[in-house]
Amino acid sequence: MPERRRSSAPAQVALPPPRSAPGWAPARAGEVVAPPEVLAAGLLTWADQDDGFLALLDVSRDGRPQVQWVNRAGADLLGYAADELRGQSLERLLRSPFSIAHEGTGELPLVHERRVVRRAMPVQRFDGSVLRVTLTTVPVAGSRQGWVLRLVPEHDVEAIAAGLLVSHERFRALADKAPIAIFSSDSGVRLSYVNDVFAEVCSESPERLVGTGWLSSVHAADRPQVLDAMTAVLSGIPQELPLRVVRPDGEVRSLRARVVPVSSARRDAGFVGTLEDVTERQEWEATLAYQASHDPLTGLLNRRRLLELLGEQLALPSRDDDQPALLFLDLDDFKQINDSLGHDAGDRLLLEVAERLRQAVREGDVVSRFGGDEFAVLCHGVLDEEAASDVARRLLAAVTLPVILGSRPVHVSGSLGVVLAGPAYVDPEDVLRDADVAMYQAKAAGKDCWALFDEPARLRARDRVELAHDLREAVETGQLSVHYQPVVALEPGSQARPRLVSVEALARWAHPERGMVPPGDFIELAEETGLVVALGLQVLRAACRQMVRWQSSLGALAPSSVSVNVSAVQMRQTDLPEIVAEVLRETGLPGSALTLELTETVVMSDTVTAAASFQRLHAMGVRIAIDDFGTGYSSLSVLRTLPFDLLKIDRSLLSGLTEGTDDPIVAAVVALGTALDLDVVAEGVETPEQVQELRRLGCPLAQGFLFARPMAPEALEGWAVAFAPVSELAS
Amino acid sequence: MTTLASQDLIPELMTELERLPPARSAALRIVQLVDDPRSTATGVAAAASSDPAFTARLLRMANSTYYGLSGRVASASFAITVIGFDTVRSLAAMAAAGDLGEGDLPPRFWDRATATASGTALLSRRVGANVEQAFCAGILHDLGSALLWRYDHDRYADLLARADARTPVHVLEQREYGGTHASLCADVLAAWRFPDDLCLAIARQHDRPSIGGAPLTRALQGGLALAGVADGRLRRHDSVVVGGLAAANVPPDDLPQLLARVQVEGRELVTALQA
Repeated sequence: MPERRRSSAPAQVALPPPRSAPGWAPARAGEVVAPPEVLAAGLLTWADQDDGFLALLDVSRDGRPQVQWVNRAGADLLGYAADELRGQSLERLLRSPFSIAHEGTGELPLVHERRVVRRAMPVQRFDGSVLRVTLTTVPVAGSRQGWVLRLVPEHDVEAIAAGLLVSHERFRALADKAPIAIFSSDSGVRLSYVNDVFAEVCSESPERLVGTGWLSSVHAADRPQVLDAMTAVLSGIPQELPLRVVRPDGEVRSLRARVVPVSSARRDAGFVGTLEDVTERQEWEATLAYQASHDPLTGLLNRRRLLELLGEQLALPSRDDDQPALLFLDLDDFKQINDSLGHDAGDRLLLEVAERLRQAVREGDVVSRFGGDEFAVLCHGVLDEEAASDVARRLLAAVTLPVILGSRPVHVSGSLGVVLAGPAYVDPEDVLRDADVAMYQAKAAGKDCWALFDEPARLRARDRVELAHDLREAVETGQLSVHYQPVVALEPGSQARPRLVSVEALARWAHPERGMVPPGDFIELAEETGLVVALGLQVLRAACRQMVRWQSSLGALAPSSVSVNVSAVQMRQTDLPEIVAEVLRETGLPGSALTLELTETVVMSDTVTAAASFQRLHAMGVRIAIDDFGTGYSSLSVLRTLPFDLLKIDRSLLSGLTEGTDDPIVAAVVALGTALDLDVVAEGVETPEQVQELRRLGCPLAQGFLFARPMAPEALEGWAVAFAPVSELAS
Repeated sequence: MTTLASQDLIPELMTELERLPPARSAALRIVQLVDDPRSTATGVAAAASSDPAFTARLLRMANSTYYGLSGRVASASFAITVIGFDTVRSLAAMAAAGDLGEGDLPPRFWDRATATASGTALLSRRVGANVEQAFCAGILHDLGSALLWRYDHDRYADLLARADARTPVHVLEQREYGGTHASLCADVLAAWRFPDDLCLAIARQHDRPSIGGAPLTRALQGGLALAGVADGRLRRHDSVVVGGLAAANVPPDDLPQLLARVQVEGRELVTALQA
């Protein structure tokens, strides 16, 4: 087969008609149109100056196109003088070494009456050298006999192409040997190139992978996502995606693909991409994730993961129908097993327990080890105490079977704390804390048993937290008031009305929502929270101030002294005497009108500090009472060591005191006080019989509802006046 | 249909092609548009929209298994970028030559074209030819036969019936028309400004295969050998097969795998091209 016959191919190309047809310069309104000769001369001048080959052709007498005019650049290009070219036929001018072989097979139409002709061809220069050019002939509009000829040499194009080839080869070599998998497509998802590493990753030959072959290497489950991503890339959006390939031997590799769209010179949508083999990294990450969430010994979930799971469940909306339950197990006496049989035996025991728990739970329940001998089980569908009991018994039954360690059976038991994590729980740590509390309750109840965390107890605890908060506010804003309870003298043997001797200052708290809060509740709270220091100071100041007021308003009817309770926390303050001195100075009350009441427990805890404080308080004239005597831990020697002035017999000792009965304890305490030269006050006196008996025993002072309840200062004024002995009223 | 005298065949055919019915002139406009470096897929898609059969073919092609995007290509412009401008132009050339709509084609025309396209593209990498051009060379290599079948039907059908292994079609064509369907195709494509390499490869498809030949020519000759063996027209030991595969650097061991791919891909493409 000969070379394709250029001569037989008509070179016309059906291009759209020239826009300017039929004239060179269509006149528009307002435009100045030059005469044709001027225009032609102008164009010729311009063409002659042009750097490219331009010629005008007309038709010779034998009907062939010939050169009518050629510009200087054109003559130079072919190596002729301009004159030499004029009148030459086009065929002769462009005669090339290649066209000779095909003479006789027809002529090469290089011009067309109506159309632009354009083709690439070789031409021979004057010196015989051959030049590849792109020829374009444009028919001169309206002439049918004239053409503009333009030749553009192609050596520039070839030089660029050669440069591109070198560049291409260089990048190709780089890509071939790159340490990362590279693939590309010229159009669509058909790969036109894969490098060595790509073929290695897929463990396939490059021949099988180019085209669409690579898609069959992609894991079937990943293929739709890969195709979606590739479709997006072809639409111009870069993609990064994970994918897996399955090698011919079945091995699965995890890869990360990064693909960017690249349009080829032909404007096709293609792409270039890289693949990173992340199989090992993913395995390593999976191992790390496993280690971070599992107990290494038993393979159970660890504390962190279980709390995460619990947290997720607590966060679920509407948990009414399925609240999680946490069962916290601590093996009984595990330390002894560990110590006596060794750590290996201990580990085997833990493994056995782990396995038993795993077997004992229902599907969906989660067993975890918190470390040491602590396990926790997260359950579902445990809605009430009965269900909790079922699960707890089942778990304990599983754990308590003997374990053979070495040759001997070891009896194992555990204590189990259970929490039903109702909607009140938000923080998984709270659930765990309560489960821990319940577990200790179970242990305290004698081991090998379980305890359900007491929800009402939890609510009470929460209530106390709220109350403590309110109390702080109350102390800070002065919501607390001070009431006073009279202490009266029991004249021995007398039937006369008892005489007011002193008052005890008692803090009262009217809560804005709860009403009166019992002193026992809030004093204890104040002691727990440390608020008692501020509270005590407030009461002390109010009491002293009130005493001064009474001294002026009641005169002789005023109580001779006021007692203020001092708590252990206050007592531990080394500056208690200074504070008292400051208050006395501030209010102007003489120290002798103040009594500080301390319980046995308060002074017993630190007698050295107490003794020092007593000394300084006595120096100010302040008297000190031992309160609630007979209820706490008493060391009679302390009564000798510490210089008390007053002894208050606790109300509980008086309960057995009725008329005619001889209560040896009360008698002994009264006698003790008298012997030590202390004033004695009987607290909580409620019946006239008690009064009779106290009188008989020689108890000088008493306090109680029988005489008066604690009352506000104004009420006490009225009471003092009403109860005053007639003689005093007169004076 | 006029019967063409051998000497007038080419110019007459070219004139015929210039008088295309509207649908096929749309195809010819696509041939030209694709050649213009300024045109875009959207522009080409717009030109194709006047020829629904052609647009449908583009979409079927782009969604075929061969291009791997099965079902994801919804627009003609995306289809054009997916299958590539070169291939679009080849399909447009086929349409302009009359393969769509009215007029029929020589027996098993598309089976041979697609198998050859698949085979030529497969071998392109081995010889350093551009894979898209290789695919196009395969699609277009027999366009001359389609033209002869269409414009000189009776005589050409008779010629095809007489051809055999000893006197193959192109020898009979050379004898009777003074040229072959290969040279006719090359001339037509050259007139439509298809790249010289492509025209040359098609013109030389029946030459004796040579390792010194142009890459695309060698790929096409190898592709023809693969397609011929795959559909049973040729045998493995025929000299044209042995030579074609040798020119395309195909070791005998690779042949079974290549044949299998040509058969599968050829079928996929035929399905896409024929509604």
